[in-house]
Amino acid sequence: MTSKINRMHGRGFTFVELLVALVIIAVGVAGLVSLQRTYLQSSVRAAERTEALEIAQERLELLRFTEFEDIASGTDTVTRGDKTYAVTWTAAPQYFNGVWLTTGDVGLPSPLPAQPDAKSVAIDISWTTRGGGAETVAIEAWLGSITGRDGGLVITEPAARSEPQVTYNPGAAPEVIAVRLTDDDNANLFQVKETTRPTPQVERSGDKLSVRFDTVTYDEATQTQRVEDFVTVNCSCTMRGFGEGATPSRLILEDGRLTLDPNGNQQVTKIYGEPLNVDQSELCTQCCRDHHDNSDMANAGVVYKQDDNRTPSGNHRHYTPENIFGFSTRATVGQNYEESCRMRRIDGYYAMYPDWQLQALTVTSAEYLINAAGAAAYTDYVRAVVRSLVLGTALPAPLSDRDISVAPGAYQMIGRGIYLDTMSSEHVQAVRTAINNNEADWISKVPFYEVNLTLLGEWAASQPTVASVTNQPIETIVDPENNYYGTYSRGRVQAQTSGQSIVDIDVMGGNAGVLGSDPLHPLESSTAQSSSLTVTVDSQAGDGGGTALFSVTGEVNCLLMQNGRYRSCTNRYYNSVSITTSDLNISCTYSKQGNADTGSYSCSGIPAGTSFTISFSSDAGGVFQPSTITVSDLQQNEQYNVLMTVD
Amino acid sequence: MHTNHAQRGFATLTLSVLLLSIIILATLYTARFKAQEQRVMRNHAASQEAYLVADAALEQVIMLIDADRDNLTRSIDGTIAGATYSATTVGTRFNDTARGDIDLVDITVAAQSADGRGQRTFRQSLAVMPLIRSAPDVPIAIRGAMNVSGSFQVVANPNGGGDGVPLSIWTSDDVDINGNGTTCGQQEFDQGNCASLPFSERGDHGVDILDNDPNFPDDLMMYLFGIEEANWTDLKAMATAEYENCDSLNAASTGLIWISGPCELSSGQIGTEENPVALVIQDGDFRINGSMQIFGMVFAFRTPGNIATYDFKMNGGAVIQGAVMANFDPDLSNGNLTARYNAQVLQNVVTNDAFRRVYRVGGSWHDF
Repeated sequence: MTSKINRMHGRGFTFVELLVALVIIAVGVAGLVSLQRTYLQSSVRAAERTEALEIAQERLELLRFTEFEDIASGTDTVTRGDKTYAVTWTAAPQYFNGVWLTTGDVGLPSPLPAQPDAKSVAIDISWTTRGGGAETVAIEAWLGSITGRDGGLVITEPAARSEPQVTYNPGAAPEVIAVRLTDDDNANLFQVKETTRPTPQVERSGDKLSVRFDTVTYDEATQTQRVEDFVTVNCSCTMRGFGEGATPSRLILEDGRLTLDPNGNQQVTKIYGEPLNVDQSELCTQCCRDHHDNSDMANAGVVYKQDDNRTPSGNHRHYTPENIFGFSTRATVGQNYEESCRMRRIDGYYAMYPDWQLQALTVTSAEYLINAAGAAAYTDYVRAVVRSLVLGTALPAPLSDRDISVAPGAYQMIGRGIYLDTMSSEHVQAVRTAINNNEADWISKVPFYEVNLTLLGEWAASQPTVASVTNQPIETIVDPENNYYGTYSRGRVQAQTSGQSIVDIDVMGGNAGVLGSDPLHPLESSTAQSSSLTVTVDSQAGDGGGTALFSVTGEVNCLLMQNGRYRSCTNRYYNSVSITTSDLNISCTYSKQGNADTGSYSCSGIPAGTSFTISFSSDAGGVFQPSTITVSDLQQNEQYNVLMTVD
Repeated sequence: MHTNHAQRGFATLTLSVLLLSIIILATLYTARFKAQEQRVMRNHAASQEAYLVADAALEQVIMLIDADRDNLTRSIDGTIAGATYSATTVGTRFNDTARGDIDLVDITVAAQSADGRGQRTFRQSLAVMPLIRSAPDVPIAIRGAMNVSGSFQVVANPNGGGDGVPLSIWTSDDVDINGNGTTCGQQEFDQGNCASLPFSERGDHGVDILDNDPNFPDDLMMYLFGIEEANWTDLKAMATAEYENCDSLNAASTGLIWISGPCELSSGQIGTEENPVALVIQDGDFRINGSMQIFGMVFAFRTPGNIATYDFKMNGGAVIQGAVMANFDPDLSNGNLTARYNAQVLQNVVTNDAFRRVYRVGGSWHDF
């Protein structure tokens, strides 16, 4: 039985069994094979799509490295493995005009720019699948007209921009005094402040003046500078009532430096005025309109004029012209009044500034300031005055060694004033702190001005027969027939004969002092200053009893022919004058202070009986009348004026 | 016996099914593997698509910044071929750089593929820089000498040489005023007093004329544009417009206008105070014969190596509101011109959109 079974076993599967098994497996495998085929197909398709995207990306990279204007449509074929892909790219211009627009759209910019802002490129990659089906991958790329290579300027640093450096030529004493803005005599880095160009100019018509000068603050080390170009004008105005007007500009202390107040020159409501007529400086429009205060300004301490007796609106007082000297009638709305304004040029245009405030006045001889020791003593005095003004202490005593002893001749005296602008209490405190901390440059924080007032002050001599002093009217008209050459003289001492004479200069306070005019306000007369020195004249050689001494002096006038008319000469011609004498023992000096001063020469202390000649020449083409003055047997002080003409 | 047969058939069936199961299992495994692969492929494709969208979007955003160079901090949304993107731009101002006041714009573009599966973020920085480094310091700057025998008025830059230091003419050689020329301040000019209250006049040079200056820039193009003269073609490429002559210029002209040839003008107006021009006249005569008024900057430029002489003449009451520069000697004989430093015009020449250019900052692109 067992062997039978074993035999049966060894006989294997029946055909039917095998058939059934085969059918089952065949059905299963058939499904699996078709599944695998799908897998394979999709795998290949995915690989092809990836390939296509990569080809598109490559095309994009190629387009990116094409000049923007050369980007255009095109076709190409790429073979990867055994597959060939057809590449088609279509470029369309894109203009941005609020929205993106392309050719054919409504609202394209007109005229159409040469190049669009961007180009959109549609890249199509198509290929045939194994089964013969068509496949396509489409992408859209954009390329801006700002291409990558434009960026070179970003990463390259250009050479430093060379800016114009204006080197300041310091003015020369005695006309201009440079005040070092440091207490330290050994300092290497310091600033210097000086006021130059004191050139009073009479406006074209009427009796109105405008006085211009620059205050230059320059850095000794870097030569960088700041110029404050001031003009002071007087005007006749009519008071109009309330309206818009500007507040004053001023310097404030910021980060330890003087800078323009950004809150200055603002329009506020206050009383305003208008020029009485057009026959005066154009600056009078601003001056009449703006030179008024209101209560807000008075409370803030930012006013045009310090006044202890303000009107109810906070304005300072103005006076009608007929009552100026008595200051009795205040101008009211509709009335005319006299005005004076100080302005500073800011960005090319004059802006209103608070009035000048005279603090100290000093008269010296020109010689005193030309002498280095005298100039140093004077600048020390200026710093001492400013220091006591800041600290609120008594002013230092005037310089004591200014008196002069001279032989007969002409000698220029110089009057110089120190002005200080009102500072806020914080500003004053900051300067006081700097002084207390022994900061050598504390004075650079103070808005002070040291001004040559020689041609603006009123001069007088106590003994004119001993030594007189010139005090000609401020007049710069040119009228050779009547001996006007556009210049005038003030402060020139004419030493005549032995004796003593006290020479005195008076300067009004406020703007009146800078304009050399009558005071327009009680405060201008009450803050007036004066200064004097004694001139001792010795007209005998040796210790008295010697030969009598005389002088030959005179004016040097100059006329420049321009457009068929004579006008006053510029400094260039005045500075070209040289004077020689036939007698080497006689020396003649030549003096000219700024534009408006009359040039003069002086051959001083000549022994009686001398005979000689004085010759004038110019290296700028000037012709003198006379060119030579012959003096024979000098027995008195003599005066000869010469006229230089330039054609 | 029957039982044996039945058992044997069952075994065959069991074996077949077992075999089939193994095949199915293997297939299922393959299927899972393949599905995974498909997902990877799809994600890769989506990522590639997002990349391309982000790339296109970045280009669009750069051009949108270029279209409005004042509005540099903004959010921008858009679509490219059905895919969306959103971009943010942040502008930062850097003042007083070697190339003037420039803005740096950081762009972040986040883009998606159309199906939203792929995402890409690109970042790129742009620099918005003025063509002109800084407003010229003077109304007239000449690399050479200047000899004027006509009547002219030059209105100074009130702060050209420092705070309150006026400057009207700047040259490397002599300035010789022979005619009725004067230089003056802005206020004097406005009030018609340029001749009577001058800074400088014949025979009397004030500090506002800085001539024979050893520090005069060797390269005026570098001084103005920060580009070496030798590379002048780079500047030309940045011009708003290029012309052979000046015939088509008018009041509506603005931007950097490059004239490669002679420029002859008679009357009318070029540019406005708000929208001035920067004219570069390359290797050509520059002649104004009439009351032409130009708002902006005129730069007569002789290319390096060129030794030809060109006219530079202004007659008949020409007015330049801005600045005039030349890198060769001008001929201003019998000229009758007004060159007024107009700070507003020259400020606009630096800051107006027409004079600012957008640059890609090299190396700033990254996709993270």
